[in-house]
Amino acid sequence: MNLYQKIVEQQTELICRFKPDGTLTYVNKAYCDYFNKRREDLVGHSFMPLIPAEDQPILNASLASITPENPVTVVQHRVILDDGSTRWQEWTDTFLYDDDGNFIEGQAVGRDITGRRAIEDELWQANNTLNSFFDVTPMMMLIVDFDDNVLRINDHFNEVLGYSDVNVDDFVLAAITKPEDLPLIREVWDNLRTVSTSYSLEFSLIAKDGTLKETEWRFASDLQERKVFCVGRDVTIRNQRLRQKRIHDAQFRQIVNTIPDAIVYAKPDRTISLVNEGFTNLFGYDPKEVYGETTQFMYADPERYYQTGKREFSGNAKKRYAPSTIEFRRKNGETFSGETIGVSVVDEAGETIGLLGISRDITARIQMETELHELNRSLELRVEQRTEEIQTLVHKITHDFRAPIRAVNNYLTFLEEDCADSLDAQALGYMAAIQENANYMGRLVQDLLTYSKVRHTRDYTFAPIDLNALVRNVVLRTDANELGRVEVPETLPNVHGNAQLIEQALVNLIDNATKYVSSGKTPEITITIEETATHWGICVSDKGIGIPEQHLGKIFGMFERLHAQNEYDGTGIGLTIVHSVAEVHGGHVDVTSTVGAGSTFKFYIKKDLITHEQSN
Amino acid sequence: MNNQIEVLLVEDNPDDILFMKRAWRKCNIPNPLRIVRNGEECLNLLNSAAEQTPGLILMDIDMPVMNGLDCLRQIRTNHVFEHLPVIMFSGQQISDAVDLSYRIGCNSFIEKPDTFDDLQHTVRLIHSYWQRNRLPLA
Repeated sequence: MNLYQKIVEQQTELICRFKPDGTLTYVNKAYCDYFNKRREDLVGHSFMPLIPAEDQPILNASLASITPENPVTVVQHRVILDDGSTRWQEWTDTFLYDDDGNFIEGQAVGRDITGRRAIEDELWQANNTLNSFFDVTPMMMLIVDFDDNVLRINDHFNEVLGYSDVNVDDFVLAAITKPEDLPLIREVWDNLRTVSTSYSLEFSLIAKDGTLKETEWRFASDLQERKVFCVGRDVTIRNQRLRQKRIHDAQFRQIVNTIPDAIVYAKPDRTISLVNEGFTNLFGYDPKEVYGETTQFMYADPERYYQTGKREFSGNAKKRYAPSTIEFRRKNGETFSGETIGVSVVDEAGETIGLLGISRDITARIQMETELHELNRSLELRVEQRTEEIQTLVHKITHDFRAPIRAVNNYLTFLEEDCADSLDAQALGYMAAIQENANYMGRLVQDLLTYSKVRHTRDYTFAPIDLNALVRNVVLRTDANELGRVEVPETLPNVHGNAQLIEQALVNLIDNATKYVSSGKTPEITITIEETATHWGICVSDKGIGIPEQHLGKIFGMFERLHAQNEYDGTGIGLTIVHSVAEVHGGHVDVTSTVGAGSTFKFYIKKDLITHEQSN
Repeated sequence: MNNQIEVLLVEDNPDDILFMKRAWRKCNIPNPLRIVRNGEECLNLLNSAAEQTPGLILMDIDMPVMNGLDCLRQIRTNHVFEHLPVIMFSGQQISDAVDLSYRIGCNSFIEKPDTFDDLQHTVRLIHSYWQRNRLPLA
């Protein structure tokens, strides 16, 4: 073995020589070791069986490419080892030619590149994955070099902006950027080219259809690669929503602050998280002073804070909107009455997430109510005083009127008794007229007095009344039975009321029924009882002259008379008294009538009258 | 009424005085009818030693100087006259006046009649009632 051979033997690289047909003529030790074969098993045999069938054409093609002018080739292929495993090798083949250019022998140096290939595969795989991301991501991606050349644009970028077939070579980001945003981008860009760093920024891009797309980006630079990596997304809709929400929030805040009531929103632990301007105005605290505090400081009485908590805001409290009045305390220590609505704010699951309290100062209102109440009382008092004065006046008038009426009557009598002989027919006629007027005035005064009593008596005593006795008594008292016929039902109910008043009303009705009949006709009167759920109706029907419909509405009015004095006698007060009696008994009056056929008057008295006491 | 006793009418209204005098005459009442114009005159008369004490007083209510109720009250609080029979004879229909009169101690309350016939009737009734009535000795 010569020195040259020795060196070859000791190479870690695989070395071999071979004939044009592939038959090995030499292998070094590394070669033998690599394949785990003895040299005599290799030399004299072709190396082709060591190579997988699918890689043999690659090797053949490589060998075939060798020419005397270009006698070296590098090829990578796999080999199959003894244990059946496959490994990658890289060979540099050099061919030796004779002077005629005939291939004599090949010499090859090889090494195992299985490890390198694996790394390369992995890199390739990783690159592939990155590419996939690049294509499927819902983000816009750009890679731009430091000379502003766009190196890559992903599909999503084009989808967002509508540039279906961007030619990367011609594309310049600045060309589709909203002009106003360019200075920002340039500034960022300059920084990115100086330091490896990243920026977040928002700017608008012009889509192919001319619309502006608001976009949000992250730019990152790599100084070594001299590239900027850009990842962005379309935030047009998000920004629109944000703007709408801001407008909505502003409106809401405006509304909440415009309300003069104090609005306090607290967490379930009753610590304040929001108050409005109304709160500041009413309580005197700045919002910053109260955020995070419990609402206890608002209450004039701390105990009330706990009570309110239990009642209004306890876990099982239902939504309540009925306001309650709470005494509150302002920052300056003043207390005031606040009308307050407390509501638990619940989420969709029904869990209490907050407590809302709305309060308003009703001190002024309470004061006004008190004043109004006092005013009412003083007015009532004045009305009472006036009523009493009027009543006194009526009595006074009645008394004072009776004396002259009595005098007129008496002097007329004396005239007749003492001077009848010296009076002629005309004088006697005048005397009769004077007498008639004096009588009428007497009745008028009497009726007025009765009316005044009914109207102004304050405390009537209501007691059980046997209507049977009362009605029969009244019929006896009037001259109805002598002038005509009165029908009274067999049995009448026991009612509750003031006997004197009911008697008076009945007397007036029966008197009317007796009075208003066509001359020459006999009065026919029927008394009946009508029962409703709440009232007894006492009805007096007659077959008299009747009342024209247009007058029915006013006959219960004071001094309303439908007939001349000489035709039918009456003061125009009788029905007014009936009306008042019904009112005193919590009832009303009613009349139905047909001209020429008769009328029915009804006055109703309440069934469940208790002793009636007006407050003084 | 006993023939000896005098009836005192306390009345300010000249018409009513005239009516009462006429009724007294028409009804032939034998007892003298004495007239004073108000409560004060009535008390003066009662207090006067020279005057005969009346056996019956007819007292109007509404009078000047001293009204009938005040006068009645004075009579009833004076142990000399407290037993004197007093008939309130009034145009006042007010039930309060009736109640008050009896509470103070009138013996009767009669409403002034509206007609002269009724007045005569009333005078006869008063006369015949008091004629039969036994009175304590004055």
